[in-house]
Amino acid sequence: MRNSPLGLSIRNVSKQYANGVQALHQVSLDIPPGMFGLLGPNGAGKSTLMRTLATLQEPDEGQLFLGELDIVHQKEAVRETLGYLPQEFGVYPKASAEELLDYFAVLKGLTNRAVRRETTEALLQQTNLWDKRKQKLGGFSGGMKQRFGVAVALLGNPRLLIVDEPTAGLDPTERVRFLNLLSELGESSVVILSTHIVEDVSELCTHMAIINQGHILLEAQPVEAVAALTGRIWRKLTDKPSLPALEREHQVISAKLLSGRTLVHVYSPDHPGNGFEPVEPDLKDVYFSAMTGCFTPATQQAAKEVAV
Amino acid sequence: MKFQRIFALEFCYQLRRFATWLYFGVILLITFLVVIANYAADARDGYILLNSPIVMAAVTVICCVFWLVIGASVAGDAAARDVQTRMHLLTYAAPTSKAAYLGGRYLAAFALSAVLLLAIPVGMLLAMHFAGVEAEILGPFRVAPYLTTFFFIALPNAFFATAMQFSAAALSRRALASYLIGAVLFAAAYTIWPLLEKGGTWGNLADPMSFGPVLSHLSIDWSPQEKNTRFLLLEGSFLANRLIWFGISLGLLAFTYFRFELVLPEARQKRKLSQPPITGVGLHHVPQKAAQVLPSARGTYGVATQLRQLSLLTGKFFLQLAKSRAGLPLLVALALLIGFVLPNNLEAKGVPLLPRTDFVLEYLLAPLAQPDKFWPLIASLTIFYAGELVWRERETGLSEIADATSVPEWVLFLSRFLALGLVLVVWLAFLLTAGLVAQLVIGGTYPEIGLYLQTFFGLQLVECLLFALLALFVHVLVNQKFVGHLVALLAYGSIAFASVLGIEHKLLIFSASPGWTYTDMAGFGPTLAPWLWFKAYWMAWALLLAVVAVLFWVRGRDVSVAARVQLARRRLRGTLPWVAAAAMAGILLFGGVVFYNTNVLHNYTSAAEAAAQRATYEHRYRRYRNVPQPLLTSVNLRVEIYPKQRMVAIQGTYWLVNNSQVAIDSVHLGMGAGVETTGVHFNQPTRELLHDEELGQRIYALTQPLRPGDSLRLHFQVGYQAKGFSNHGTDAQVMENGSSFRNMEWLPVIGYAPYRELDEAGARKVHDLPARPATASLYDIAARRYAPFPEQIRFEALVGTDAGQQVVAPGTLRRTWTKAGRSYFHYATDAPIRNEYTLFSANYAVLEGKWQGPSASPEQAVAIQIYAPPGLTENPARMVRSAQASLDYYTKEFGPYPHRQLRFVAHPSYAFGHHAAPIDITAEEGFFLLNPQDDSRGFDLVTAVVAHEVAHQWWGNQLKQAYVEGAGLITESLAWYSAMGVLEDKYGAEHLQRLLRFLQEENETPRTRAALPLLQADGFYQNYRKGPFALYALSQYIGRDRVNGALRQLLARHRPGTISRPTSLDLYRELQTATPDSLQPLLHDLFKANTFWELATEAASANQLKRGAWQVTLTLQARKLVVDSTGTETKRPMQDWVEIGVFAPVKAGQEEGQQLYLQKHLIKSGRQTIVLTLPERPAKVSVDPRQLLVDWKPTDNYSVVQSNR
Repeated sequence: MRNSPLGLSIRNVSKQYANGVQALHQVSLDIPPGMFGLLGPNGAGKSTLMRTLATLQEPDEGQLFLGELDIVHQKEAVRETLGYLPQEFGVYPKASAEELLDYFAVLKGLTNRAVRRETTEALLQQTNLWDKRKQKLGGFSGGMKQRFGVAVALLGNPRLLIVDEPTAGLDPTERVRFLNLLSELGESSVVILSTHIVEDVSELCTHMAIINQGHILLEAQPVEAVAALTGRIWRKLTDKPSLPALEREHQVISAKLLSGRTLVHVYSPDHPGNGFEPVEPDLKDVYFSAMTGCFTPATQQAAKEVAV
Repeated sequence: MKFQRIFALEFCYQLRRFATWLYFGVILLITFLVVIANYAADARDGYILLNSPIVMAAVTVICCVFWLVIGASVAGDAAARDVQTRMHLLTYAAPTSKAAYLGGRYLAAFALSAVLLLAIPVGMLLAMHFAGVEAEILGPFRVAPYLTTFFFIALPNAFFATAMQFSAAALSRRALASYLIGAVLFAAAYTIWPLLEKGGTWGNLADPMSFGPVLSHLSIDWSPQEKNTRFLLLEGSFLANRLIWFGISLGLLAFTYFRFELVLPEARQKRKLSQPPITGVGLHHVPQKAAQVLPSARGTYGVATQLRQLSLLTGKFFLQLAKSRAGLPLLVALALLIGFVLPNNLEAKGVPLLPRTDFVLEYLLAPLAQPDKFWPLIASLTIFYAGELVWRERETGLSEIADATSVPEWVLFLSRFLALGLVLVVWLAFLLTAGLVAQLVIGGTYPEIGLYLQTFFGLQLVECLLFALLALFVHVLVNQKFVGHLVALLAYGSIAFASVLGIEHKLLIFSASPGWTYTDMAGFGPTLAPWLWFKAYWMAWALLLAVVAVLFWVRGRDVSVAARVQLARRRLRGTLPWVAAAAMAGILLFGGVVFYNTNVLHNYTSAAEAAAQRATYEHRYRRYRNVPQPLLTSVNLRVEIYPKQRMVAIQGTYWLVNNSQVAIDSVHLGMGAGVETTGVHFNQPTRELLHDEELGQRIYALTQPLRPGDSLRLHFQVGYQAKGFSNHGTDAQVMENGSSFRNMEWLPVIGYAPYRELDEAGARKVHDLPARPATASLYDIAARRYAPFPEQIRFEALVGTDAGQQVVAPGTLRRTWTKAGRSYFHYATDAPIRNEYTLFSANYAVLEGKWQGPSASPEQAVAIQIYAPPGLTENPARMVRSAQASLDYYTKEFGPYPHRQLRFVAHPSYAFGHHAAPIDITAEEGFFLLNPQDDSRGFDLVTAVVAHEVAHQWWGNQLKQAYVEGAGLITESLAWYSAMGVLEDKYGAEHLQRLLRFLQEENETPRTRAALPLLQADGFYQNYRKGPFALYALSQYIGRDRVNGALRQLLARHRPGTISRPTSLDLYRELQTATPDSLQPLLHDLFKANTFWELATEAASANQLKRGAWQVTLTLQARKLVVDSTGTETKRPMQDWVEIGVFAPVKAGQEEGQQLYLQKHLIKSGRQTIVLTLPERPAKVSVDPRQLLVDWKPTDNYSVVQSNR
């Protein structure tokens, strides 16, 4: 089994909460082995999808399969191969990292003492927590705690690793360290990383999807998606007062401040003229294009055809 | 402004929550039930008016104590929600003063609690006036008591409790702390009063909820009049209580204000480990080991793994619980406390007990649901632990990670249950150690380790585990921590008070079973089997609950009911359905066995049905009460007892004589309950007119009426075979060792038996029976004809039992022999006995003594035999000596003892009392364990009680009192009075003083002065304490010989078996004859009126005269009043002889100074001065130093003498 990595397929999954919020709306995705980025703003439905994949929630409708396993109906089997790092989690402040990791190792079925010891030691070193293993978790910084979470998620060598917004709140050093750690994985496993930080995806993921308000806006490989935008993104330095006029005339996908002036990115298949200059697009532009509705699967398809 | 906003936000936030209104509903419901299920019944029996102020006060305190748990949630939430939701990061940083923040939150919590407690008056109003309560038991509707109870009790209680709970939660920053405070206050309410009752003031002040004091007004220290009219006002010790706790609460709030800091909880503690500096970590530094591949070890799954997980998780959860402060440290402290107080508590009437293992166990162990001693505390701790186990991971935020791992739900649930079970095992081990050490420290017995282990870890553990499972189940299912606590506590309450709620069958009360008993004499006897069957049934239920808990175990975020039901359906596969099926099979099987025993083998009757049966008996047969019936004169029994088979076969013959003036044409027979009576036939032709199987009543018509003076013989067979068990357990009369049974329960009774009637006024009314007093009036002449079992009979019995056991029956043991492996005993009386006897069969250690009258021939000697539990020799020897002394004194003072034996026979039980039947006095097993040697009062209760019981051979057996008011005065009071004479004459004046002091201890308990005069004595205090003292006082005024002479006369005028039967009026008449005219008023005041004297010294001074003598001037106040039974006090002019005593200074090594003077002075009402001349220097002067007159405040009778040289 281990030799034939299995993908994850999500079919028409919908979820509505009791308070009326439609968190997921007919979501379908195919996620191959490797790193997969789920990109979306806050409240897009990322965590709902992640929890559903982590067997902690059931969809109102739709199916989820990990290989042959039905995630809704075969929770036990899925959990045997699952690693999950939730967006928010707490720790026992008075327990040490080593102690708590050992606890989770037991929960994950590592009941053989020697194996467990070997695994937890390796993971503590891997996550660079070896020196802190005796320290009480209450004294851990955000990054250390997050790395501890990864160590927990990695216990038992999971085939499906779900990492929900892991880099939110990490300082740049910690973030890099963390992404490095993640990059080790994902050769034979499905690793899903949900984030609202585009760089996380661009640096790590081979596949991605953009989700907003419960809808999948885009499912693509980052490289291809960026390629599809080549020649369609233009920029212009302008003043804040003239921004509304620009927005009326062009499809502005992002506007950010740059040395006190406003740098506007515009999506346009053709040169938008007066003062715009072409930009080499990046994944951010893909994200913003998708969020503003400029980049749809159709666009991508069209782009592919053009590219071909 | 800020304060108002903080207050308003907190108040509205909690008010909007569903839980708040649930709490309101719960308090409302409890209030309603307390009124309807508890007090309405008392009101129907005529004790109180249901809506009297004190009843409403009592309802309020009871409900306040239940509210504590709810209040804990409100206060804890207000104080600690910010930290728990992590909103404190915002609120603490806001520019708000501590005062506004804490004040607003506290007052909001207090206001919310006030709103919740409004449920109490609302509930009372609904229960009293809108629930169909009959108008007769209600007084007029008044608003005032609703206001006073709410503002004087509920609101202050809310203020105090909220202050404590809020402070605890605010300072610890955990809502949990307030829950613990609530539990402590709850326990305090139930324990402080019983512990401090003797020191009433302390008890009044120590309990912030005023639970005990208010309830004791209702139960003991307010008169009936006060109970119906008096308001509980802010006065006296109640006011002091409110003020003290108000002060303490304010102090606590101030402390909280100063101690509390608006900083992050973590920031207050210094980091123990300083962060090691990051050494040259570049931005893209790759960890040293990162090059290695990730560990590839994968989990293994399957049953073996799950079992390993189970054991590891159990250990982890156990350690978590154990290490918390409310875990093992608390349990150790509790066990230490219990061990520490055990020597003081292992006593009876203040006399230490020999700590034999069975009695230590009886003290330490109890069903969890018995609201008694410390077990409710363990139950609430169990609930608390269960809450922690279920909620810990979710509260920490670890649950999502843990829930996504592949541990099956059954492991998650079972590991927590086992952890909780382990905690309870450890608790039991602590408790066992405490008991064992205490037993060794007290000394005198050898601990039976095996028995300890068996009862702690075999029996008590099952009780604990069953409840633990219920608590976990509730927490899993409710899935809201505080509501879970509340529901679990309600479940506990409804188990503990199920019978009050009308649920009696133990198949319907979780974990309920008949109790087991173990005494050294009888062992477990037959009590273990029913316990086991019931527990097996409940264990099957527990298994089913466990399955349900596994099905509904919360995992993940979706906690809506629909989602949980869907999940549960999905989880119901694999082995779970089979386990559930097995559990249900167990329920059916064990439940079936239990039901077969309780309802098929035994006639299951609830208390209500039993009352209905008694009512039916009265309805059907009372009309025959005056039908002339032949008199029983002789009984002959052939009895075979089979202790092992728990079987008895009796063949009996009654000789009946018509001693009436008319011919008798029918005989009414009441058959024994729980036995099979067959073969009833007379030696004359008869016809069965009536055969009422249900009530066991039969009427036989005599073909030839029985003419006056003629006799009749009745033959019958009675068979007893213990059959399984009933809802109350097994019938413990016949068992392997320690069997006994009485004629009154088993053998046919002639005529109508008034003692089978219902006595309670409320129940009589329900069943349409005419109203009558519970005890017939002293002045009801017809009632004086009746006494239960008064016939004087000759008795003969031939009894067989298993070899190795001894049979005891009344009379002389004529012969013993063995035949076919059985021992036979032939007993016959030499003189008639009253028709009340017990047959015993057990293995006893017998101590024999002999008493010989001064003039009697050797044949007239009385053999004194103590049939004691083996292994105890001290008390039997004491008993023999006391019995000898008693016979000496009583035969001299009152008249001959008609029998040739006097026996005390042990009966296995935890009790200490006696029952004085003719010749054979039943002594409960506990009596033999009394250890008067270690009594710090130097008082020998064993000797005194034996003298009392022997006196009953005169008072109760020779003088058979009519069954009317005042019966206790001519039995119990006379018995104690007689015992005083034995101690004085045979043991010395010092022993008498100790007995008097012992009897006076009862006066320290506060009680109402309202009572009937002693001649109509009723109840323990009058019969056993006030009555003996009145007789003693009289003997000190008119002389003991005169009183004893009067008693002799009383006996002589009422020979056994004659009608009419003596009453207290006959005693009074004899005493009147013996009392000189000058003291007739005193006699009247002592017996015919409920009189109180209030004597007090105001000042005393002494001047030394020229010749060295001292002149003492004493100023005193005197007052006399009569209190009637409703509590109305009437002042009476006083003109009484009262003793004045003067005492010398106390010398070293003495307790009291030497008595210099003791004379009776004629004292009148009001202030007066007395001048005395004494030869020596006086130190203390006292009015009525021996407390002969009834004065409940003896402390002001003394005055220290101011000496002027």
